[in-house]
Amino acid sequence: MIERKNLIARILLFAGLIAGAFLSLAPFYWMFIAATHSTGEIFALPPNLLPGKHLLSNLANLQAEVGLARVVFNSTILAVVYTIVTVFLSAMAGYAFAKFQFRGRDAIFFGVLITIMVPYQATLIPLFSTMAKLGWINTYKAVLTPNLANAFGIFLMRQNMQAVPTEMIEAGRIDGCSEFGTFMRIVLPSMRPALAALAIYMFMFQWNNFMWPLVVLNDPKMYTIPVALSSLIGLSRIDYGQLMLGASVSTLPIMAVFLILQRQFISGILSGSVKG
Amino acid sequence: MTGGPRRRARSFSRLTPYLFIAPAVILFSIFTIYPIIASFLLSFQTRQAGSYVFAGLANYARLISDDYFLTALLNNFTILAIQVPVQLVLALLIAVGLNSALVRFKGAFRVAYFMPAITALVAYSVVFVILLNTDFGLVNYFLHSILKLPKIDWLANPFWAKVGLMMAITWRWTGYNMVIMLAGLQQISGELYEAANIDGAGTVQRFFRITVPMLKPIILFAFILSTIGTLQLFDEPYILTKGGPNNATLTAALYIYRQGFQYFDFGYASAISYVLVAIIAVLSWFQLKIGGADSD
Amino acid sequence: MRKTSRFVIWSLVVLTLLAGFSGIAGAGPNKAVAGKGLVKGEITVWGWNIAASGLKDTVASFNKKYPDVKVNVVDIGRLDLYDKVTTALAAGVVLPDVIQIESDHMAVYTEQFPNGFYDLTAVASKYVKDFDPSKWAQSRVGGKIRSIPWDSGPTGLFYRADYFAQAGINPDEIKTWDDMVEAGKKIEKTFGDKVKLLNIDWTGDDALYRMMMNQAGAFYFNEKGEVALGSDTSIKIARIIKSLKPYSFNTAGSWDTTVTATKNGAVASIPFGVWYSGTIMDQAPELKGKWRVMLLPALTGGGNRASNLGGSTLVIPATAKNPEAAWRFVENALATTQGQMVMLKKWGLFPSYLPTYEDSFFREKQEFFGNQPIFAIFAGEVKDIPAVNYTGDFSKAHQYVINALTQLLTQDADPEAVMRKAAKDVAAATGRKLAAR
Repeated sequence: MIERKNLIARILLFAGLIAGAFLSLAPFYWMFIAATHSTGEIFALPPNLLPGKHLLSNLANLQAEVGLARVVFNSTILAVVYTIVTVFLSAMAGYAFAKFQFRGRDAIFFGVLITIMVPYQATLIPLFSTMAKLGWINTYKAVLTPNLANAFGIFLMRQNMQAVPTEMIEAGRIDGCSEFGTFMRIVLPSMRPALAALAIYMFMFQWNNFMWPLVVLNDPKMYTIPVALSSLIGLSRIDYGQLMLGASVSTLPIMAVFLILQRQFISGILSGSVKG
Repeated sequence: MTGGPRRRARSFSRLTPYLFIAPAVILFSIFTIYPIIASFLLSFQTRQAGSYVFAGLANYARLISDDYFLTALLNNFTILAIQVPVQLVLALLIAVGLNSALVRFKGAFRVAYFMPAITALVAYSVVFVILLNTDFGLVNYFLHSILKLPKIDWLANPFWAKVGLMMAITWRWTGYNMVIMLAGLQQISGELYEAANIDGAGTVQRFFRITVPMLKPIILFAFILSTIGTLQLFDEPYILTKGGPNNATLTAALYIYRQGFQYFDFGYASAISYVLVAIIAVLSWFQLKIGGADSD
Repeated sequence: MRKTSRFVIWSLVVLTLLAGFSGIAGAGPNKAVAGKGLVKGEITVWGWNIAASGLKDTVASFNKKYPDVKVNVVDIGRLDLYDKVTTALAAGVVLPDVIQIESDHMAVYTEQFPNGFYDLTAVASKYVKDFDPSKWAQSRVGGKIRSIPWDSGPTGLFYRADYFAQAGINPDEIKTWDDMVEAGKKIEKTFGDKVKLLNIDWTGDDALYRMMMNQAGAFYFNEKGEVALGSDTSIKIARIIKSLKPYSFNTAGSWDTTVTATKNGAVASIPFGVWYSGTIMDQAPELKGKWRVMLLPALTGGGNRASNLGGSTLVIPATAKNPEAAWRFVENALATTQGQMVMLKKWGLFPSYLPTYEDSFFREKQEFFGNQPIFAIFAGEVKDIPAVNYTGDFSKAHQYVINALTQLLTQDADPEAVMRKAAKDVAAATGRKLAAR
């Protein structure tokens, strides 16, 4: 009896989860399929739900229109550099906030956190004029720097760093490591899952970042994928096959990164959200 | 100076923590704090003949009688009241389901549910605009041609546009919240459930007596994140509905964008932003107070 | 703790002082192009879509005259371009040398950034007589020429000759919008729900309203800049639009829906600007020979049938690095028959430069449109397009009108009440006076 009830529960649960997963993934399936069709086929009724024949022509058009290889390369470099630097800066700051007593610590930490509440539309123009004064318009510096110090990253790292045993740090000091050496050689290696979680977030953020790169970059050769895709959406004559292929290309690398790092990701989020 | 090894180990140069936070804090001051202050000052100014002049609280006073702003806020709160609870409950149920011993392929499910959250906005928007198209979209094709239901004006009917918008947001963010909750669930010790089993508690009782209370801090965390996200909601209404029809999906952030970037009234846009910040701050504070009062 | 708090407070004070000197740029001095400097170096041009493609095709003829200038034409999406231009103008930052701005947006920019663009009066005055006069109303601000008109959007009713014949509609008998209602009934009788007479955007745009207002020589604002949405003309137009609703296909703010409805034959006619001819030919080549063009029906029997929808201008931002070369580029593209004809023939950009209308191309019969010389029809209409006052509050008012029409068409609102309310709201939001009726 219990066995039977268990089986039914199991089937129901599984069916529910499958249905939910189907709803989550269906738009992706449709996007990938649409990337192999022409615009006319995409809008046809009944809809085309099987792969079409236009993948190669869409790819050729996309390459000709936005220089696909080039923008994918730009996006990748920007996202990788950004991720490394941000994760490192966040870890440093998070470590100090979690493991040191110092004057103004809580005030500064709170000051950092509260900025999350300000909508970015409000600060776009002053930020842009700061970049202009620095002479950084149309450079990758301008794309990267504003979010290098990232409130969410600092928060997540501080929460995680609280789990680092104080004895471990002291052991490092006794062994004659410099403070920075202790951080590099002892603290960081013990933080791998949290660093991986933050890395996914930051990579996602920079890879998908749209509004800011759009306003600071003027040269199409320097565009990132979202900006290049957006330039395909004009007033008329949108080639949807091409656009869907671009959208698919913009999604695949993130999927790959997430698949590789997902275990660490979950345990990293965990400590970020529970403690504190 | 004269302390033994123990003391030496505890002490660190007073400068050390400041050096650790310096790079982040300096960057933060220039590229985040400074623009925030500049835009805050702007909220007390107004544009006359192409230049800015001090206007005191005029921008803030104007807000009170601005129907569009009030409509936008009301929309934000409607979404907050309906979409956020639905999304969090869904996320919790899926997380509990995935955490159950009965389910296999957990990794695959996790990825499937999380996928929408990592999609680039541009890709997401193009796909949804076409899927929800009234006459040629896939969603209505299934409703109308296969299920023989009437076509729904997803993006053009005031009621359905709100529903469509909330559906899109739910699609995008449920998995994200689910992963947060799943992480929390894995922290709950199995012994608690075993004890409950011995007491004869059923699935539903265990859910309400153990899972929900133990998960409270996590749910609160997800709730505050969703609240901030909802009050700053911009992407979906900007792309899917342009705030229409008849302001049914106008949100405060979209209104800020319009005032600033389409009407060039940056002072007024800033004033709206800081009213929004104040609302978010008050709400978050209440949520922490209410949610945190009896935990720990 | 007190020391640190003091430190934090002082840092904030310093930042605040710094912030006070920054943020948004002021008006700046008026800069004018003299037309005398050396023309060399490099220029960058921003436009979108086919407009950018059209400009690219004028580079060859420009470089024949000015071989020492390297021209980069950059194609930036329309909304993206506005976001970039607005951000840069507001921050007072270097922009490219030439930018495309839609005519209806010109006043919005020049009112907010009075000296944001080069003053072209000295060099462009000699061309004033050569352009569609209604376009100058948007290009000239406070007596100064800030932009050069590019393409015009004379309007017409594109219609399916085959559908009209099947439904027994004689296109020559459609003279007023009321006649359209009758035609709508015939279409409905013949095709049922499959084909609607025309497309109307119920919720996302007010194109039809603007075309009709323009026919009447009216707009959101009158010539004094007062809010004219509550005028008798405006209310009458709202009534007509409401009477057309049952025979309309709702495109709901979606360009793709409009194009797809055209292609799938869901509409029998489309009231739009001349630029839509290119879209039909491009997107629905299989419909060759089925489409025709006529002027829009008039508001009243014998009334004006000409109006304008859309069209762009070119500006030279005040921060341009190479204004002299930029001006020569604009001059070559827009104020020569050769430049304009390249863009018309290949990209369907309909010139507002009047001398081009003498070109034999305008008399050519268009095979796609059943051998109608459609460009002659549109060119002939241009002289009758009334000039109207867009003002710097166009974008703001636009939103209120769209919402008013949404109420009219989806909530069965009363035309008079809805337009009066919109007028009052726009007056309040813009600080403008209500026009006398």
